[in-house]
Amino acid sequence: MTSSQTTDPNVTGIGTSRQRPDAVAKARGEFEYATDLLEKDMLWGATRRSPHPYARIKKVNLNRAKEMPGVHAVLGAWDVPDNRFGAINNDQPVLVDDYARYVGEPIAIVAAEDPELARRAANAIEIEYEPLVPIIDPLDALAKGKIHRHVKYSFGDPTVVGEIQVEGEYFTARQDHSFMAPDAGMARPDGHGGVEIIGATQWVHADRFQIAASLGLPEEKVLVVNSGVGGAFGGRVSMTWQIHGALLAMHTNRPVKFLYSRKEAFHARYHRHPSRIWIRHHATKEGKLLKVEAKVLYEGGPYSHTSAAGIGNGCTLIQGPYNIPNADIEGWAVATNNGMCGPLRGFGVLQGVFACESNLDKLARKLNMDPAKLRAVNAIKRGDQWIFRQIQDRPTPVQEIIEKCSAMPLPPDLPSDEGKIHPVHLPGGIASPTGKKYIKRGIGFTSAVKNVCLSEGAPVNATAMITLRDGAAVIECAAAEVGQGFVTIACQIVQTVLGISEVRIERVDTSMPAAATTDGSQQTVTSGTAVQVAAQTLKERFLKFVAREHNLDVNTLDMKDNFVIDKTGKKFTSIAEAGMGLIFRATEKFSQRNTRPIDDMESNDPVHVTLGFSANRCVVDVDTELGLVKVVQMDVVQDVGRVVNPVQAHGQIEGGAVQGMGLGLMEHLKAEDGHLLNPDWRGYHIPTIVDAPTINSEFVSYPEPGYHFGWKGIAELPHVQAPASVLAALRNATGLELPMAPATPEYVANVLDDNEAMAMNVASGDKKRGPWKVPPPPPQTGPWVSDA
Amino acid sequence: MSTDERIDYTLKINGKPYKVENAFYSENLLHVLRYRLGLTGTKYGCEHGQCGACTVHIDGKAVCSCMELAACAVGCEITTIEGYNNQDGTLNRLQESFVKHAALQCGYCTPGFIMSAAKFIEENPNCTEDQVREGMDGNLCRCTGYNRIIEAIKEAAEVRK
Repeated sequence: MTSSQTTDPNVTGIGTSRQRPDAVAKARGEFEYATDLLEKDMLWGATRRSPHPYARIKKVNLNRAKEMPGVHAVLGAWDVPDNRFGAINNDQPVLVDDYARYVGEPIAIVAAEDPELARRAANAIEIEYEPLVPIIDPLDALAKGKIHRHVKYSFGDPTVVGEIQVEGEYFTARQDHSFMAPDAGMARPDGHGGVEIIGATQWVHADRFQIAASLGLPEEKVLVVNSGVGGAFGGRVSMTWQIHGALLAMHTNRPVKFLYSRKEAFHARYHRHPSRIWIRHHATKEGKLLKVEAKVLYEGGPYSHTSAAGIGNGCTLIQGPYNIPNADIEGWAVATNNGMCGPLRGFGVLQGVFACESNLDKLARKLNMDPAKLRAVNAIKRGDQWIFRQIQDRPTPVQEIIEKCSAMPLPPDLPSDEGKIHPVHLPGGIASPTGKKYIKRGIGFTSAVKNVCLSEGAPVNATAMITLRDGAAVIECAAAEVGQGFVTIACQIVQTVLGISEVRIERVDTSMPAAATTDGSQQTVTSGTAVQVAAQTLKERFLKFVAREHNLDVNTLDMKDNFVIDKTGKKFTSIAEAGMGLIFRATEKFSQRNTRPIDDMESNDPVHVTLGFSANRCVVDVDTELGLVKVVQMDVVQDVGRVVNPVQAHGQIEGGAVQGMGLGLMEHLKAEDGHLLNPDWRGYHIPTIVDAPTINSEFVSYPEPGYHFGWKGIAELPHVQAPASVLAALRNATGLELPMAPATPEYVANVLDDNEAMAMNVASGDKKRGPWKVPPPPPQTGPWVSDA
Repeated sequence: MSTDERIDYTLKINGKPYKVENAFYSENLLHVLRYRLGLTGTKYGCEHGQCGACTVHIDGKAVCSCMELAACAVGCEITTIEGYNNQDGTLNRLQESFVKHAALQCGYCTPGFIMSAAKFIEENPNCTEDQVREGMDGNLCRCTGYNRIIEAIKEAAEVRK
């Protein structure tokens, strides 16, 4: 990256790198996050969780905890007015009543005067369990019919056979969001029979809906306020403490604070679905793709949550950004007792893209073809049809992206003089025992596709209200700011439309109309568009007023640089004065186009609202003896539509690429017999400042139709393709197949060692038959049991 | 000593005495700063010394406050981000550099990074990128991918001629 990419607090409008409105407060530690909330007379909440992956609850006795001094409330399942909730289906207990189905599932909750007392009281609750045999292997879950969703479809002629066929089975591990701020927040009674929940979320309105239903309250009795959010990455779609806090606040009539420890957050969070994907590509000898076949297995948690959407994303976008005329796809999201799974940046798509890209690597090797060229010749174009029966009807610069990425400069080799290599550049980092003679360099190339907005019939819309007074505007839009920068770009949009410089955005709560969820890279294109449309309406109203007051033709007026101007650009009067102290206001709702479920054969709606594309070339250095890897550089080119804030867009790409690299190299939340083995940052490693590669990101920018300013969602793609890219580079360096992400040192070294026990299984229950010992089913017999 | 024992003590934070009353002996400095004294600029991230979000200065050294028993810090000079900040509400050079280079997104790691980097650049004026990577390895960030943080620290460490 170049240091000229800096922010400026004084630039305004779309296309500038305006400084975040919260930047100063964040740099001074004065920005208030959910973890920071304190209140006079507040109590501390604590949660008693299941130690078993699967057990029948025989008895819960709260009395000992209730009798402890300083304890104000101890609640169990019978205290929950409606004890079934869920993001989509109500199939999950707020507090366990009959069976505990994963380690860490909440059974009882406590409010006490001090966090230590609360923890002790939670531990004092007496629970009798009858442990049962958990399902820890997703293949067992499939065989037993524990299926959240089964997807099956074909396209074109599924009997077509290509001259060249390559197939493989690919795996991705359970990834944790590991956002910096653990789950926390405050619940307080509102004094009128209702409750307020101040926490960190990606969608206040979805939280309110679930909290109110569980409490048996009408929605207007529940106010959900978004406090400062310390990262989300999909994780804060899933509620953790919120309903518990509301219950305790209602019972004690006092504010109740929850604050999870990191270990507790690991257990309570809903992780990325581990995947096991068999895929076969058919191609001509020239490398033109003819058909893709895939069996896609995602390991979901014991409750459905969003697993159905995840497998839908995977089963469609396993196609990659390529034109493939024929397809035969089947997929399942299954239930195991290894812990909950839910959205994580690149939801459901990352796993499919990993399998697709890994297998295309194999095809490129078989054809002895340059991997970038193989991708370029198959690049999907505008007007092509996707295998999920959707016309690609928007700008599709896939080939351009691939070619542009291939042409970016490569990093220099490591210096030949070993003494000149700073250890931060070595595989293994600062204390690495590696030496230059063990290091091999590899280059990988991938391209990827990601759906922008929620898909398959999910309604995607947002409402925004803008108020203009004395030349300054205030935006009210309930889109959650989680660090991605919506607060910056919303202000920039209004600055451009209204021609003013002073714009601010209000804190988000459920007293506002609903906006879109911060998911699926959709906030700019959905809530951003709602803000733009509302600003446009406001502008028309305002100019109409000015024209009437001054006997002017409204069609000759415009707003620019804080002035009302005429057609020639002559300043007529300042916007502040022209408003005459009055308040001008507009509210508008924007809805994305409708989508249909994959298997809806009647509708002609698309499955995905729109799709984004990118390419990533990754350079790695590998110690071929110890399996240590250093990612040297990632060059990313992404289709970004019209850019609202260039620095923020680059920031999304850089951060996403490093997070994806984490899954490529190190992030593997393991479980043994349903128990997480590494639920903290000692055992679960996320990329550090030493691990982070140099990232060069460039944009390809075609205005996206359907949005006045032609913008596009961008936040997930860099994460989606990074694991595939890292592994491609590793395969190039080592010549090994490496079908699993992450490629941890022990994994790479064992494969390098020709250790045959390295049959992959990242299903988190991999220890049942000893590590690495679960053989994949022979593909020629058709992978796995089908429930059809 | 029983973990049940509650004690009173006084900590010297940002040059001022702070009385801590009826606290468990086992409470770490991070918890006492944030939840007994309301100094929430120091962030709670992992509570096991892995992320650096809770970095403060104790007797001039940058340390993770989650790894220090508060009661053992009696008699030490403790500086938190609140004390490190310019008291007129403006940003100092290091903080300005973080803002300018967009070295923060969610911002939760930022106070810890600022406190670590303040000590780092004091000891490593005119540092190189490699030195920043090595010296700042104790702080985690999940949003930015680190490149902009490195730029920010490097620029702030440049000694003006």
